[in-house]
Amino acid sequence: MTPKTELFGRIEDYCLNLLDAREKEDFEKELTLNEELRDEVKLHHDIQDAVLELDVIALKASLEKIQRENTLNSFENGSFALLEELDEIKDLKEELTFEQLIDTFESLPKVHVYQHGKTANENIHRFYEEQNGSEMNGFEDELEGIELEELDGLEEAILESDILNLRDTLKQVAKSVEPQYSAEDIDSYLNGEMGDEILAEFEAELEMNQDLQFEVNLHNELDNALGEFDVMNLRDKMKNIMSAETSWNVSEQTIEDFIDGMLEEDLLMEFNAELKENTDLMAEVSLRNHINKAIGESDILSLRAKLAHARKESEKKEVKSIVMPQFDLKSTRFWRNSVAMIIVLVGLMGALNTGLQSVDKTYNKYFDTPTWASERSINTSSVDEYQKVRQYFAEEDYTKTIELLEHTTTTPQEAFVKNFYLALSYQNLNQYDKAIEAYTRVIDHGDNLFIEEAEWYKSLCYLKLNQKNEAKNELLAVIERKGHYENNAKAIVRKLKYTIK
Amino acid sequence: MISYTDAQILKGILRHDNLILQYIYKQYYYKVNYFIKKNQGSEDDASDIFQEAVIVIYRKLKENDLIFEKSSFQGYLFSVCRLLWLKQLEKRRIEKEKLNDSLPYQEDIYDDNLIELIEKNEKYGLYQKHFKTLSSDCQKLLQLFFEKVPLKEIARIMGYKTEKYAKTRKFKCKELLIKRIKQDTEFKKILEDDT
Repeated sequence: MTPKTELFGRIEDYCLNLLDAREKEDFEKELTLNEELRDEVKLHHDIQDAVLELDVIALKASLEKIQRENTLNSFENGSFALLEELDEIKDLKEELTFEQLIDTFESLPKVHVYQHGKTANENIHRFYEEQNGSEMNGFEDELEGIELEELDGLEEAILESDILNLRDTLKQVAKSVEPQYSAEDIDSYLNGEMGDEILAEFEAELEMNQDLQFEVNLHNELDNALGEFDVMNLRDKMKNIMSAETSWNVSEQTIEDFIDGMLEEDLLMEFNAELKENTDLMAEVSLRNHINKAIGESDILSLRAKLAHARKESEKKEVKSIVMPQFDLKSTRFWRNSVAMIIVLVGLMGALNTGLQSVDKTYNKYFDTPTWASERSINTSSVDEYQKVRQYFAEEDYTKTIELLEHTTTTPQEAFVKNFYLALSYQNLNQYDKAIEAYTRVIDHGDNLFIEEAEWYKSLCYLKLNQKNEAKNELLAVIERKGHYENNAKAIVRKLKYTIK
Repeated sequence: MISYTDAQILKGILRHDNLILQYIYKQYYYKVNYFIKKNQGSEDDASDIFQEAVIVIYRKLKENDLIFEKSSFQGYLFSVCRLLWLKQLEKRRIEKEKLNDSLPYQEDIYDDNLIELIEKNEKYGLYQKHFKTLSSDCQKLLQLFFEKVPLKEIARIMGYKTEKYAKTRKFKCKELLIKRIKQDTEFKKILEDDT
């Protein structure tokens, strides 16, 4: 058997015609008999031919070179000669305003094309193509069956990617550029104050430019809408009525008569008709029914009174805890029962609260003395002077607070701070008339940060004095401000309507 | 409770009479509220619709375009409320066909004029809502301008040193207002409806 290396040597010699006549004759005889050898010889021949095609290799290299040069040229030439002045942009070192950049170079489209050319061969583009590969495939599927030759110029148009990009860029530029005419110009136009020359230019632009038409129309409508102060007033009035008034069309007496079963036939039918649809009235009737039931539980009320008495008694005897170890079984049970009853009654009191709240309870629920915060409205020198007053106020020594405040020297511009805390101190000392006077001075000042609070606390003073109308007026002013106390004020206004007796 | 005739009610609306407005609210609101709640609306929706219906009637009255021949104030008010709510349902893409019509209404009042007025009211209402969000200074300044108060007087009232400053301030306020309106999604919806 011939070793493989020797065989390859002989094949190579045969292919290169290096064998002598005898060796060649023997090899060819073997070649006719051995198919494997024939294949091997053919392979060697092919390799030899390929390696020897030097002219083709040279041609291929030349073509690649030409292609590279073409790509470079197309980038340097740009599209539509947009980059003729590109060097100017490249050399720019100063910072230019947006307008200078636009006016001097008409540069944004150019810069875009320049950047586009620069990045055309970057991986990001290939990556983008890969990302959109599926979409492209879909598009090709859609095109299947359509004769592209019939759509003259379509292929060319699709391939004009530079123009597509430029169009997008121009759209972006148009979006980012400020409108040519300002609000001031449009107002001048609408008010007939525009000079003749600019007016002609403006009107010519208006005829062509839809955006400008939209702006002018908006300004026009806005002027008309803002001139409608009567409509705005009516809307505010309706809003106030709807937030402060009850929405039912029957008197309190009628509701009570309905609950007591005293309504006459016609009235009853009318009442029932409204009750069927008016959810607010339903809620009111239900509330009043519950209140009546609660009041009717006289046994529980008397028990509550007894328990309250028992608790007071126990406090006198310094009973500090209900689980004292020295208590006998009977006594512990008693206290446990008492606590349970108290919890039940506290719950019942909660239910009763809404209906039975007296003026005092409403006042106590909503009156909460604010902390000292004079710093928000007075200058630093005055702050020092107020330090001592602050201390008394914090200690709830309102008599001393009033004494000191009366002697502080305040400028008329800052007097509202003094008046506000004076009023609060009087209110805490139950001197409501004096408090109202001081709050009024704060409100009349007209321009300070305490007005809303002053109105709120003033309304509570009126409430305490049982002057419901005055209280309601102040509360409506608070509601109008839509500030911190709006919801509380609304709640009290509603109660004033039908709960507080 | 005192009751008023239609003529008295209309006069009261024109005068913004508190008693008449309260009467309208107490007399008719609960029916509108019931209708809207039955048709996928809320208490707030009912308040808004009722309030805007009164404003639409006021606009009609101002234009001298409100005569009750076959209808009454109640019928007209309910019909306007119903139409306003139908428009809302349309905006919210809720089916109108399944409407629970508890409000008595009159189809014949739904003419082009009313629909145009409702659209104008909606647009102007939006502008006015944003106007109310401006600072009181801006509101006052624009109000004086629209009341055609002379520039010099405006500068004096507002405490500005020059008329020029008053004018510049006015433009700033107006620009801010326009910016807020354009950013409002409701405004974009109105524009879409217009196109």
